[in-house]
Amino acid sequence: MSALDFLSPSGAADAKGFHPVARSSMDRRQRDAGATFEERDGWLVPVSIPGEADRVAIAGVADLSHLCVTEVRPSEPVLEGEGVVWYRLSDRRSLVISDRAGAAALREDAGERTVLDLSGALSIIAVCGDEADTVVRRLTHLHHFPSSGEVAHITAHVLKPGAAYWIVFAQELGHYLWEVVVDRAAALGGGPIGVDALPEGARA
Amino acid sequence: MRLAERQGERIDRSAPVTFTFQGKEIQAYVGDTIGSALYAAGQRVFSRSFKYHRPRGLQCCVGHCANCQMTVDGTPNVRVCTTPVTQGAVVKGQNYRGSLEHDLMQVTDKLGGPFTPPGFYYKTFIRPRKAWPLYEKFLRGAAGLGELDPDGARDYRVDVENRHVDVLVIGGGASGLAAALEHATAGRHVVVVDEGPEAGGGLLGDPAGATQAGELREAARAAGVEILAPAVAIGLFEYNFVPVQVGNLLVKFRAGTVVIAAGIVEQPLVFPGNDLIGVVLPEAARRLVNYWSIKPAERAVVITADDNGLAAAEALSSAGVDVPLVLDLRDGQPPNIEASGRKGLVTGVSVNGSSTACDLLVMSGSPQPNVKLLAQAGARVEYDPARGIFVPTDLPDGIQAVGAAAGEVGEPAVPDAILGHHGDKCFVCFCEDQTTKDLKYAIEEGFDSIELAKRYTTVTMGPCQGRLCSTNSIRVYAKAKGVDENTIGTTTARPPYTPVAMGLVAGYPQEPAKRTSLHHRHKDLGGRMMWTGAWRRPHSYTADAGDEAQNVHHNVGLIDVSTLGKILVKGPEAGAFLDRVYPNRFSDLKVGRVRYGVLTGDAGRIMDDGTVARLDDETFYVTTSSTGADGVYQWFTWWNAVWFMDVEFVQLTGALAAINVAGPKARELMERVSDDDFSNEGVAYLDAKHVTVAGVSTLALRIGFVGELGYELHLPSPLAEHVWDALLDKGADLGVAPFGLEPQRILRLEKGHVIVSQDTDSESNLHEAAMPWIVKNDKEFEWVGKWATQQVADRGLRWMLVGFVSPSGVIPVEGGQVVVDGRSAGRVTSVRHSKELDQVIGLAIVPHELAVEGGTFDVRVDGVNHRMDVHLGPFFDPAGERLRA
Repeated sequence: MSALDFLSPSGAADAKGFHPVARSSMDRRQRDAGATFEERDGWLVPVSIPGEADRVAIAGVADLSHLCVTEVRPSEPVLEGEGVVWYRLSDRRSLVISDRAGAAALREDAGERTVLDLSGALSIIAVCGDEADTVVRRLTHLHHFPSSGEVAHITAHVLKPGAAYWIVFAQELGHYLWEVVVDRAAALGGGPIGVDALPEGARA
Repeated sequence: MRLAERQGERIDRSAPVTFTFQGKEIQAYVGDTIGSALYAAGQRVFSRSFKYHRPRGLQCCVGHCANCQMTVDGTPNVRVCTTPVTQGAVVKGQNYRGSLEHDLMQVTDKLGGPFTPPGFYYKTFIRPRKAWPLYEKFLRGAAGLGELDPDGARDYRVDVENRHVDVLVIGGGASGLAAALEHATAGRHVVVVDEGPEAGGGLLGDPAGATQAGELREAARAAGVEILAPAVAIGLFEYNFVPVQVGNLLVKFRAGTVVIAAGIVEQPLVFPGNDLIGVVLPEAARRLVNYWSIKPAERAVVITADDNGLAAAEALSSAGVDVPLVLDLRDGQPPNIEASGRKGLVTGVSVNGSSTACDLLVMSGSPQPNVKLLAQAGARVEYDPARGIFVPTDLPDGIQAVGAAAGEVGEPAVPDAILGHHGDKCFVCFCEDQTTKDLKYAIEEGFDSIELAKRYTTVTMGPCQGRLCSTNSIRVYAKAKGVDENTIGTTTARPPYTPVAMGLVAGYPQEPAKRTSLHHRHKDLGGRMMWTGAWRRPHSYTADAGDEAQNVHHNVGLIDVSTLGKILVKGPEAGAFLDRVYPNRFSDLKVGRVRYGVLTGDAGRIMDDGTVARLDDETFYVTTSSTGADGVYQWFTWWNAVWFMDVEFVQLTGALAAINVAGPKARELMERVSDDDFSNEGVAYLDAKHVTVAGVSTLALRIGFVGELGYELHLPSPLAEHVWDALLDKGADLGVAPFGLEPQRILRLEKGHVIVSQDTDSESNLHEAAMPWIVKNDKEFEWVGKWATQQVADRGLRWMLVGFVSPSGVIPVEGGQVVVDGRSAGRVTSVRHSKELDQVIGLAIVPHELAVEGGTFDVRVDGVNHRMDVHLGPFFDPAGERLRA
């Protein structure tokens, strides 16, 4: 057992009659929007939200916080893997976003490197659709992706691993940032969507 | 009067629009502006001037001057000459008492002139002193333009958008569009912004030009140029940052190259009567005729220094206006021009004593290149005496100027700075009602530079932002002082280029609140939320915070302490690093143990506190105060950039939730949610142990946070609701209940715990905060703040943080004065009533000599001194038996 196991939401397991399930910092916002949830990899995931079909092509906003976010120190070498998004913060640090299996594989392959599970620290909002560029432009001055800097007055990383933007940020600001991103999207005809509504190319 | 349908007109006669002006219904067409519709309806008085309340009307029709400002749908100071009509709009005049046509405040023009020279407010309304409130009321009532509803809220949405482009062209006239086309053809991403309703600039003034403008737009768009209109560049800042207003959208452009193609600003001539209604600039006459098909007058005179006036004369003639006199100043300058009028409207003009009756006088002083944005960008601007204009001569990197803005305005005449002998009431600054007489007065008063004149007279400081008065005021100053214009120089160009609503600049209201992962559980439980730094936290859950504290003493309570800063310090030199940065020692801390620590700055002042747990030989887990999380992380990083120690830091504040389970029944509760041993042998006081709580891997710190047996559980944030729910569920019969920050304050005060920033300030040090035991001077390394801390000990203590009891039961305010011998001598830092102790207790900073058991001091409460008894040490459980239970 590592001294840092208590950092990882993945370490939770049924015990003493308890069934731990992780929740995103935006869980309540999605619940308010009428989301349907499913338990996946130990997380309660908002898979669909009423009205998403009308929004997804314009500016869909989805919560991908259930993905594993791992920090690897030092950055090199990059470890490839299907569905693994590798964001190099500096020579010394990289963020790696993957599903649970990908994170486990990363941990196996990391060797002597420091690997920290920051899934509990960072939330992810995905923005997809024709107006995704406009939504992002109304949130940040960042324009080369991946990039880090101010997004709606907070510090965040903005990645574009596929057809969608992923905004990776401190989870304690999730309630706030979800509200802001959805507001910007709604002004353009978009809004919240479930993760299953994300187009294939927008998931990673 | 509307003319018959004309080629190229901008109005759609099949689309009528109705709005009200001063309660009266006005008919207009789509394509009209409010100004054009009012003019077509016969309205001539549009506003009242700022100082003298002189009647003013349309003058430029391009949004450059401020003579047509009105209140539209509650928004004051709207330039109606460029504001499109909208169905049902409510338009009102402003800045008058009585009516727009008969303004009672015009008395200031008739009588007040001699008493209101520049700077009169420095010289008058001074005596008698007692009358100042009356003067102030009057002056405040008379000052300002338009009215804002102080209780009004913005009822429209604004957005802010960031754009990065290769080339931003400001100005969509012929030159701007040509430049855009050239850049786009070279493969660059180009955006053109133009303040007009559509790009075209000066070309749009006549039908043939409008056709040409249309072709240019099409060609540019075909080459990939994006054209935004109406879109106003508000300023030009460093690194080619250009905010642009597009309706209710503020677009923040960052461009590789900015091309200024802003054209010209037509300049008025300076002569007596030049502010009469009907004295207009050439583009106003052209637009009234060619855009909106209005016959603007019956009889017009044109006095011009350039071709623009001639184009206006041609347009007027085409509309059937009689133009008996066109005076081209390039053919020779008349020494004297004077306009005359009746009820503020021009009725004639006298040139060298020869009068001509007219109801419209077109004046064209000079085509001043629009260099404001260039000057903001840092371009050098110099006066060209041969043409009477300021031109850009040296542009910064990444800035280009093209067309008229670059000085390509032909060879206009240079009219005399003041044309007319009669009196000096020739207006130079229409916005601020500054005349040639006022400027001469300022010079006589010693304000002999144009920058001083600007501040003293307010010339160029009105809403036109100096567009119509900057050149003329410099020229008047040069003439009056007998020097050339380059010697006078220009005033500093500052953003905004044009007035902009504060709401647009403010953007969308955003409040980045941090919320713990238990935030909604607190709200569900009735928690009353409060701000603590950037966090939202529950103050309390019940009406009586004292009861919540009592439940901790007698049963078990839960408090969400997720906001505590949490930093991982990891590496072979982690212990040595902490020894250097903290006054106390951590390298000897055993694995699985916790120790309290206080951080001091270089000057030995207390900056933060928290706990340090050792997780393995090379890994320490540091907690900080809630507001200190970021600061301490940066502090560690900064010091290690100095020391280069083999240690890394990870900010874990948001990653981990923290729940403190405290009270005599805490152990029993923990045993119900975990299979781990929570006995004194399993998790001893000041132990840090890895446990599993309700199935969740958790770091449990057994610390005395609130003075009772307690376990601080640190676990992944996404699982916090699960663990919280489990604790509440399994502890129901134990009386488990959440407690908020307020009961926490009571509990911590009972133990005499110091809250950094509440009980300390920027001057507090370890000795005078009664924590000398923290200081470990026998460490082999220097530690941050050691020297300064030692200096305090060496010089002797002056103050001391002590506990006190209020024997009378009076509760002083926090911050209340400690009084010794009738003088202020310290302050109360914390005070609460403890139900458990049935006493009012507190902490106070007092003179050191009073910090003795049995000592007393006074605290002033509502003007009365009340005795307080000094109490050293914890008020509750001084032996700490309950912590170790």
